[in-house]
Amino acid sequence: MSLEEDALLLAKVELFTNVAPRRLKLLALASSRMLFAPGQDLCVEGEEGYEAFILVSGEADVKIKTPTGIATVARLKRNDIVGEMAILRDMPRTATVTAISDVSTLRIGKQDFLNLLKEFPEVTVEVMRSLAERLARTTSELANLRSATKA
Amino acid sequence: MNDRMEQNLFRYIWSHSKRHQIWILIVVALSMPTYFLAFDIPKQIVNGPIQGGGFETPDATQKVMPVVVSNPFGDQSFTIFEGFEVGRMGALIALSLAFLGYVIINGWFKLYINTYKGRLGERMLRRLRYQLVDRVLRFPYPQYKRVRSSEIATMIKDEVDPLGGFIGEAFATPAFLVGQAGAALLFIMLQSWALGLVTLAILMVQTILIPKLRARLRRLALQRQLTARDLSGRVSEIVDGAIDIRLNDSTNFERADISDRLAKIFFIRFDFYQWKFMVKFINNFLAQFTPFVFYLGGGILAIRGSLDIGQLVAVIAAYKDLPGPIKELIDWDYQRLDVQVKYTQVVNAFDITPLSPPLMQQLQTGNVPHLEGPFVFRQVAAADESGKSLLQGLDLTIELRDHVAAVGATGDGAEVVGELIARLMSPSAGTLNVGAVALASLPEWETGRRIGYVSPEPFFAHGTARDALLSGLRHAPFRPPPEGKAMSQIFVREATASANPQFDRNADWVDYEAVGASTGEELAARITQVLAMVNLQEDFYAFGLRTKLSDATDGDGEEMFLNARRIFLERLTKGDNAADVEPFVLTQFNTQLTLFQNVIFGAASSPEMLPSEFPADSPLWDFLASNELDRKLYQLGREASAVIVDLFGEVSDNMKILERLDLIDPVKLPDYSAALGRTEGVDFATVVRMDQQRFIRVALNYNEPRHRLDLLTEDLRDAIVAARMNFRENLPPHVAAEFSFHDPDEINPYASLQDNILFGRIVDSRAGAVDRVSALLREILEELGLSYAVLERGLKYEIGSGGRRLSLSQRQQLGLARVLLRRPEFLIVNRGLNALDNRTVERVVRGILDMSKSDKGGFGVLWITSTESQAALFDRVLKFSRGALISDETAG
Repeated sequence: MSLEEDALLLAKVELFTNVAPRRLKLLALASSRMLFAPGQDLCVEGEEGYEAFILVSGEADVKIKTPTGIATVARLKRNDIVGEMAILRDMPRTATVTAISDVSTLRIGKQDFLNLLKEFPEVTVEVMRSLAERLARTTSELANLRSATKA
Repeated sequence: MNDRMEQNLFRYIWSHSKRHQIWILIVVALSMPTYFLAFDIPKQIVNGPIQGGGFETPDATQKVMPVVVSNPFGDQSFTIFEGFEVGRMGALIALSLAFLGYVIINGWFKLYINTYKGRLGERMLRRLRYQLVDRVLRFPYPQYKRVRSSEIATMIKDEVDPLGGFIGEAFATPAFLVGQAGAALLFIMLQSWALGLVTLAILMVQTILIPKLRARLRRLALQRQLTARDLSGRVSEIVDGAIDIRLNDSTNFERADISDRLAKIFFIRFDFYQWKFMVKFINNFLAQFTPFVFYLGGGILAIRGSLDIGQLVAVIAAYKDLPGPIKELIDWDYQRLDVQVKYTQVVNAFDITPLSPPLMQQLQTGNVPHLEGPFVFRQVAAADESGKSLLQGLDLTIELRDHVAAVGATGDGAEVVGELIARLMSPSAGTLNVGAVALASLPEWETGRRIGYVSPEPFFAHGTARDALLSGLRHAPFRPPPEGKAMSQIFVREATASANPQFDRNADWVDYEAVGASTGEELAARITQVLAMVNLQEDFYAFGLRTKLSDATDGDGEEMFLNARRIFLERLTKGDNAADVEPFVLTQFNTQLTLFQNVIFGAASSPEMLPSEFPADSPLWDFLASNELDRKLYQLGREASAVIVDLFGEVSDNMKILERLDLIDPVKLPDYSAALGRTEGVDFATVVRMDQQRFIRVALNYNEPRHRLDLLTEDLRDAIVAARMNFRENLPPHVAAEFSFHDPDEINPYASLQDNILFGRIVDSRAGAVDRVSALLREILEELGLSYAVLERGLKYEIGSGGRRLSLSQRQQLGLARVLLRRPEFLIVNRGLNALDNRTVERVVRGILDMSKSDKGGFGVLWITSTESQAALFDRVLKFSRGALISDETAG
């Protein structure tokens, strides 16, 4: 587990795909490794979050509360990111993520991330680009969904 | 009662020290006869025994020291005492001894008078200073925004200082000097009419001319005082505003402004000196002109035989004593005008109306009445200093136990309601009553205990957090000071003599009754409760855990903490998360510590012993050199530096991300970059010592889990553990004294409380480890009854001047805690937690509301905020917009 490895890991995250490797190394330096035991929560739905996690190894389940009980909606593995929205804005966690094996993560603090954005505007632009792509995708999905429900 | 300050300095002095001034005048008068008699002795000695006058035969005798009252205007005289019959030698001895006697008596009088004057002056100065501060405490609230604190401080500290010296002299000195000069003049007159008249004439010129010349000096002195006061105010503004000045690039304007002020001061001062020395020159000339007349005129008279030489000598001797008093008299007159001007200046600055009457702030040790009835606003309006309307036509009733939120943006009027109830401002129209009486009529000692007001910027004096918390409870000296610490009699006497209060600073001023605590434990419980309520308990708890064990003086805690360590280890190892803490094991490398901490495996007594600080010639370097450890460290340090320089080299220096860079001081990055270049491909042995040390220091601060540069090898770990043993055993005693080593069975006085109990470090990378360990730690300390001891250590944290060592949110929380601790009957929080995040504030509000319902008798709350979600927690919500109450809703 070294800086180099972590920077490579960050590069695989969608949000950072376009960011220059040197900057990612800085972000890696500002981040830290965090280990979760099976059953431990990476984040809890409804709680305030100040950090994002990138899974380095192990697997975790994403669960949300529904009127009929708790539903597992996804399983995260290596290179998946948890809570990336939390490092961009103040909002409660939208789901609970629980480790199902020993999980090793790279933890990115909100303040460290924002500091990086402030110092290097080009990183901000790249992150924005990723977000815009995602927004475009979501919008088209929504449009599809709407036309599907109308039909 | 007339609460104005006396404008005339002399009247002020006279009205406060009549008796003493009269006494001192009497003493001065008593000292005069011997002073006068002393003049005549030299003449008698010279004319009599030395020149042989009256001792024409060897066995002739004379009567010496007769007491004769002579009439200068006629020949008759009255002999009171005939004198002693002695021979020539005897006469010389008797007269010389008499001279010595007079010298002693005169000296003693002088000593007594000076001491008395000094005490009188100092007492008056103390009285004046106290009076001024007392008035500051009674200023109308808006005045505090108008005055510059540094100017007030300068006036009280420096500008009144010369008054102290003068007050003692105010009456006695002129009397004494006039007496002295008069005596000398009279003596000269007695010896020779002509010379006396000449002297008098020149004196007249001197006393009339010099003060006239000095009038200009006085004006300059006044200007000098005013400009200097302005300068001090301006400098403090520059210091306070330095950040804004620099951020707006207006430093050069400040430079120009200061230079301009200094120029004015320079010219005033230079003018002053020029004139001062000119006046001095004229004065000296006049003073020396008189002897000129004596030598010439007296000489002629002596040669003609109409004046004997003894007389001339006596005249000249007497004249020697004349310019002194005259000069001092003129100086006194100058000083008089000067201090009068200063006094008037200062007094005017403090003569503010309306001052809060003294009764409003009277010391109350007994029971203070409770508030009665609701706060009733009738057509209340309020305006700011400029007359801008802040609130109009408010009709509102708030019950004492109401829980009300006032919502509105800043300037919409919500906060004005709070400020009116707190009496920070008064209504410009309408009435504000509490029950049947006007709120304004209640004394401060009632509202100051029954109403609590929390602003977003609470003030704390320099001191510990505990002092800050208790500062709201220091109402009166409730309990006498500890044995032997009471104010001594002389302190009480002097306080009375200067009209200072006799309140004992060393008494216990804390109002335990207000806290609802009668013992130390109850107070502790209450402090804990209040801190928990404002969400500050954990912060101070953490401060407490970070304190070094050696910081506290009580040794009995050691055993308890050692016990806590044993229990902690037991529970930790029994539980599922034993790996949360990496224990200190003498024979093992601890990955959670820096390399340096691993080497010393203990704690240093002072920061000077830390790797970034210890000097280049420290004996520690020799220890690091054994087994080539230094070479290995150098290698690691250099590699780490290379990565950091590469990553951060282009980062601007105010970058926040650099806070992470604790291996290298960001401002020194270029030095490291240069050093890397110099040492490229150079063998360690030939690298200059400075560069060797530079990189070794980096390595010593390295911590693999934190810095993650993947540089730590098995080989290096082993080398470090080996060095640790060497370090323990072979350190010279004077160096060893600077460190205390970790020992499983001993408390380490230089290590933090947390290190001591955990006897290891939390493994940060394990999710939840910090929380789990903290919880376990809390549990154990709670069981052992040590929780409050830890919190109390945390409360000894020095918060700095104005609380600057705390964050803004911590200051706000502490400000709220301070008011909650004294259990007001009505609590006003005027955006008092606006630096905290909303969720925390809501939690605090819920806690306060619970407390306000359960606590003895309960209390009312007025919560002023801009945030609707906070208001939703209250029974009643007032909404304000543009200075008007627009809705008043009570939840069903």
